[in-house]
Amino acid sequence: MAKLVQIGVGTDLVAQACRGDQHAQSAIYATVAPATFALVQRLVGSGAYAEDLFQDTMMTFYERLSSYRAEAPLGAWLRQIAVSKCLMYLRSPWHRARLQLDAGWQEGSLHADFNLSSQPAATAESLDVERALASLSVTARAVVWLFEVEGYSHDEIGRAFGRTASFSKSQLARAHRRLRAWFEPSVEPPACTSI
Amino acid sequence: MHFDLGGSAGVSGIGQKLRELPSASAAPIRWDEFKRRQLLRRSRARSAQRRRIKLAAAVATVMVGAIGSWSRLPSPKTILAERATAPVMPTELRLAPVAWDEAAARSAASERWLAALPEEPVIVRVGTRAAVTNLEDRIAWVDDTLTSIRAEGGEGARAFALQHERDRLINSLAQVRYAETLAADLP
Repeated sequence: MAKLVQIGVGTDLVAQACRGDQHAQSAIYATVAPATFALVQRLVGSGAYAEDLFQDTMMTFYERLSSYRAEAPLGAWLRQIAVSKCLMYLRSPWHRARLQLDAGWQEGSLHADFNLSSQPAATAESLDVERALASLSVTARAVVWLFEVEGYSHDEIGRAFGRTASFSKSQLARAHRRLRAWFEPSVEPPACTSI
Repeated sequence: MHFDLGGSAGVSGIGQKLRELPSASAAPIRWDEFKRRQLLRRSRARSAQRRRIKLAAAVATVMVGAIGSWSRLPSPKTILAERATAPVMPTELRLAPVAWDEAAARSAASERWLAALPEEPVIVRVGTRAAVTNLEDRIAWVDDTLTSIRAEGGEGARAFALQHERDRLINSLAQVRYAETLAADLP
């Protein structure tokens, strides 16, 4: 299955969907929904919030579809909406309050939202990577996913989080250190150079 | 302190592993269900908007009415001046004590309702706050004047006019505060 950013839809189908054709809208939904939901799950974890954000993303997508100018694949345009919704959720005071409530979880344990069994098509090969990803904090996970998989630059990530590029770099460095330690437990990651 | 970037091979390996993860997941809801929720949300949004518009119109009407009736009231000073120059009302033509009591009872009921409200509304709006402050100032002025008149033993037409004025001011205040309460309940 192609990544969301690579999914393109014919301009005729988009035009029909804009005119309110239910079949066209349904066909677009069938094409983009699985990749959109996977992306939302990668950014915010599984659970009810991911479903809510997915629904919110798709509703906004159909509301704004008439403003799509076909300058990029439809999937890339939809990805902007999904990422924006997810990051808005991660930055919300409500989410931060929830994180504090979940503070009882030990550092390094799987995040409460991150249910491996419900992750996109979990297979034996991918399960270890899923576990490693789940060991990261929500913010670090979002940063590492946006940088490594979605191809965002540090500037773009920093802007999306309302922070600087340095924020993205430091989050990514910490996430990499943690992931390396996960995949190569025998190697002690020398985090800093002592003076 | 700087982050170790030496393990770039490991880093690129991690990136590769992440990129190989499945990029699709079964959508949590089918198209029919999505469409149903979309329609439901739109209708909720529309009805909420209609409710807001109706409530805002009601609040605006009450406020305009209250401010209009308040602005038409002559100032207490004017009333006192008029009363001072007016011929003294014959005792038999003065309002019966029942009417006086009714006015006082109405005013007392409005005052009780006002006293039950918090000092400040949940949301302070500049427009209504200015009207409330102005009305409260005028009521305080009327109260002071009434107290002085009663202390001098005067219970005649001037006192009645002032009491009547106070009643109207209290009612105007109650209307504005009621409008504030409605506005604070807006979703």
